[in-house]
Amino acid sequence: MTPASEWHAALAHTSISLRLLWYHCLAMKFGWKICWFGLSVTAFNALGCSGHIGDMAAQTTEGSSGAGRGGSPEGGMGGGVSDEPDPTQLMPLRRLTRFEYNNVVEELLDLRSDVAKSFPGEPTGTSGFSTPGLLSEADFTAYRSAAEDLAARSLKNSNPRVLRACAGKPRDDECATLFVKDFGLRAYRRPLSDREAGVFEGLYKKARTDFGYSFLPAVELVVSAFLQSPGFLYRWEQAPTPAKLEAKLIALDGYEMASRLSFLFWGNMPDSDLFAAAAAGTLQTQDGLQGQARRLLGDPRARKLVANFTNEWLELGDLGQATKDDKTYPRPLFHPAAGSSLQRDVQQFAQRFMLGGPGIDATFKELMTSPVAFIDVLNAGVYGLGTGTTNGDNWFSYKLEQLDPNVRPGLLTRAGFLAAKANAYEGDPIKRGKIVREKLLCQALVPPPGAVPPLPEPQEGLTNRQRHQMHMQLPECSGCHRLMDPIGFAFSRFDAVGAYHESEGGEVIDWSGTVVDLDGKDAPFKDVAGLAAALAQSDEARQCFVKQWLRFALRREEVKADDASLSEIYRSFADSGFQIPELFVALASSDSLRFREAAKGEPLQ
Amino acid sequence: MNNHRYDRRRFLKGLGLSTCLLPQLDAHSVGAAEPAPGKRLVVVGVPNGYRENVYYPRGGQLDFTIPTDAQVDPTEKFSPLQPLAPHRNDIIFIGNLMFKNGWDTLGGALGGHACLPFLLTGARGVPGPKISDNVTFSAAAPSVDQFIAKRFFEQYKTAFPSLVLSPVKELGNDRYLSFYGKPLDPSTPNAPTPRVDPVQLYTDLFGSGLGKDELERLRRNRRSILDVVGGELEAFRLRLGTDDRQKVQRHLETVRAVERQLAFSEASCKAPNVTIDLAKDYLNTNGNPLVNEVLKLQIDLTVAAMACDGTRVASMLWSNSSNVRWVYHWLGSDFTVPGSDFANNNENQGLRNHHEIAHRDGETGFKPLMNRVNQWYLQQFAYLIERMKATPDVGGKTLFDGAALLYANMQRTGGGHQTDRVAWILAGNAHGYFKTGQYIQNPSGKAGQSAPQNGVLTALCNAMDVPVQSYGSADYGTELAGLRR
Repeated sequence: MTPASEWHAALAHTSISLRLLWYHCLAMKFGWKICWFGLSVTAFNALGCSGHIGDMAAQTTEGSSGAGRGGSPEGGMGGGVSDEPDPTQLMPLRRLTRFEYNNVVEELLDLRSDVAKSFPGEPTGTSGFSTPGLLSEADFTAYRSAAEDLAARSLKNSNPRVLRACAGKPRDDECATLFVKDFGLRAYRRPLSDREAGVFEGLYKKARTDFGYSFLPAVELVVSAFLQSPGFLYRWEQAPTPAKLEAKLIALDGYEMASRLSFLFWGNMPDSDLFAAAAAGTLQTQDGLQGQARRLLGDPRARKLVANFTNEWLELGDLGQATKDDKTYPRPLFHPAAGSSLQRDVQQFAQRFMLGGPGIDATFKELMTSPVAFIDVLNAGVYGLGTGTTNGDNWFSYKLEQLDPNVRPGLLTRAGFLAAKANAYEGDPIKRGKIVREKLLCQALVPPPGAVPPLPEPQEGLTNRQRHQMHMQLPECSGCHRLMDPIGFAFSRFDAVGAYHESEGGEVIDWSGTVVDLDGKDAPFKDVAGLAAALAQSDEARQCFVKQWLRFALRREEVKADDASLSEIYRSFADSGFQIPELFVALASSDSLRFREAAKGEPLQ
Repeated sequence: MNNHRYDRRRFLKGLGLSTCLLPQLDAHSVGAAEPAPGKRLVVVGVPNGYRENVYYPRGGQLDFTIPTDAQVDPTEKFSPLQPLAPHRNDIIFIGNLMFKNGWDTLGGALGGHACLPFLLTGARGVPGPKISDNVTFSAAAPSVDQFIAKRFFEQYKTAFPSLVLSPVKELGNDRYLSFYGKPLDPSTPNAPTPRVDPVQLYTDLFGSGLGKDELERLRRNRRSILDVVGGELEAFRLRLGTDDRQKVQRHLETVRAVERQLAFSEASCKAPNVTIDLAKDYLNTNGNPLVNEVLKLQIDLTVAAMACDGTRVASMLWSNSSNVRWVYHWLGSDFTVPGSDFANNNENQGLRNHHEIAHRDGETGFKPLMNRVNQWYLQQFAYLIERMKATPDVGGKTLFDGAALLYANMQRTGGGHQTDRVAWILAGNAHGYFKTGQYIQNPSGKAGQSAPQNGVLTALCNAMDVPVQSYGSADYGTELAGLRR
């Protein structure tokens, strides 16, 4: 359970007196009015959420020529096209995420490491994605330990790939100078200034002369210093020289764009191709950017990135550590190790429909509705395709299966997603609805009121859905819960591990519901396929998907200045029939990625 | 297992130090870093509330008693406060506090999950990254420990202005009990990252147990790198806008702090009487966390650091109310799912996690579990008291004589997660400032009204000789009456 989605749990339990009152209401079959008095509810609470949604609507419809959110493909994303670059904001200064740190280390030092796993951790920023910010002593010493260790490992046996700058040359001071230049470019992800090169060469010389070190220990010290320096640790636009303001904006240079692309699509530093393109200046043209974007998207590193994006976007957490009641979910239906397999299934599904490939229709529609799943021996039981035993099977081999499109349409019916949005015993329509509202429709919800009525405890004769419905009808709950639960009801037939059940207590489970306020109107649906179809065709959902990627790319929320970029990206996305790779290409070459404003007080040329 | 841990083990092995072979020295027997007389503050944040039926002392303000397990209702089974019985005369049990600053920020009731930015700051919040309960507020002012730490540092220049610790990894955005102040930008809390890894903490404080030559080399390397990094940060900082400069300034200050700490661990304050296995993966990233072992080591190392005057302030977030990823497996099989196997897999976790236990604390089977968990936390607090009592300070005193230790629960009941009528515990009289041996049931003095916790925070500042009229937002009043001797 992630802290962010966790607040509902506060709803689930409260004082005994409230609980008794609840049962009183149920037992007496009174109208809800009696409860209103008992709980002294205010209309303010009930209106909290809808008011907020209204604000969102006003904000998103701005600039869409009155067409409304459902009216035009670019509706809600404002702005028009012009030759002038559009205003856009800075990317906030941040350190590498742990995901990025591990990737970069692998690329830069030619070794595999998950050392960042032991780093102190990173907060989720306003973008909804990991955003490591201020550095503390705990971070610093963790970086230092990692750097000392990695530097030593990377130079084991004088690794020629790390020391490639002086291949075939003697290991001497001249080699060290070449090394600093070459390694520095890759560590800082741009050419070093003369001053910077001098600093690291100076460290090498100090180690040789003052400390009496031989070549390798001296170079090791240099590598360790690079790994602890801001040019390596921070993700920011950092050309060697101050930026130049033109027409109120700064065009990012080739190296800055190379990093923007590589971190956006790989969560990693640029490779040699990108560095070459940066040096050649081809990353300052739309064509150059788009060509590189397509190349990056075809690389296996993009798959890793999409998995990372999906994890954070859908708040999957570490499903390998997910907690399920082993009495309710015994083997072989649910293998205790199935969590990570379910996670891989969600990620592979996302990779398939976000990145595409031969014969794959990588559209937003398919992402929302395709019934394929990646079945292996561990997750087969959950998908009702076998017992999940491991007899002689390879644990790591999986098979692409077509599931029933009425039962398993799209990303949101992957068992891993459903299991992440559930407690140990049962599925959770509140969490499931909440994430659709927040992460698929980009609408904000307000905090719950303080004194919260409980969700009725599980009991004979009450279905999960009925309990939630009773709870949702309480006026202090309905303001927000009507925006979440009726979406979550679409998943009523999926339990806490994501397995499908047609009935509960002998009754067929009702999985109809409504998306309140979708593209400006309510969208009722009969079943989960109805919800999937509604989202697949929703402008609001497609626009939100674009926004999520922009937030991920820049680790900030979109602002008014991004409207034109969002609008253009959306147009390309729509023109392609909502091919997701086309969204990526358009994002990579958008003004929001290519330009930035000057920071307040930033020294300029 | 992470690689740097692996390499460290290999390295120690290479030196013939197979596992932990640390000098078992008594901290006070060490010469040069003679502890200065003074005051020490430890603040502890504890989650998930308690069962009111059994948590409070019995009796009145001065004649209160702490019930034993045998004296509580059999259905409760455990008396959470029992571990404090030996320290009855050294504590003040304060009932009925309220985190009013949080309530006023949210315009309504603050839940136990979202209280962290408010707990020790006493100020109304400002926009910040999302924490639990969809709350998008962060601290607007320093937490009381960081406020005092800053003043102490100006005065005493300890190598570590404070130790900010938590035995639990992965607490997300709800892992900050201590704050430096309001956010520099809304996406990041302005807060020290809690140290979790006890091995890293140990080596930062007392070195890595290397031989003399290796140690010399390591320190030489680190100093030369700190020079480079410091210079690079200076240059980098000047390229940024004014807002981001502050962030890099923080990084730079950290580098300077680490330089000082290097000098501290080089000084003659030797490794204390702490048993730690430097090759062990305490964070146990692939299994159920060893929270109990880590927490004990963090207490040991905090006291050791204070004995050497490496710091005078510590803050510990023992867990938060949102953490559902681990269970109290060391408390016995009642805390694990029957038939599950902790050693080999993770299939059982979560069902008896603290949050689950707390929310069900009214159910028959869960009452003893809830009480046992609280008793365990208070055992840890008692252990901190005992360690400080056993550690000499100068002038024939002990560390405890000059200490104020705050045990701050984040909520009242487990089921309701309320943040009014919350009970906190103070231990230590800070060289005669506090009148201990008291049970102050209703500090506001008004029936049906909770006192803002600001009154306690204010008292802590005054007790630490950092006098203030009020701490946090001034409209929450001055020092709580009756605490002072």
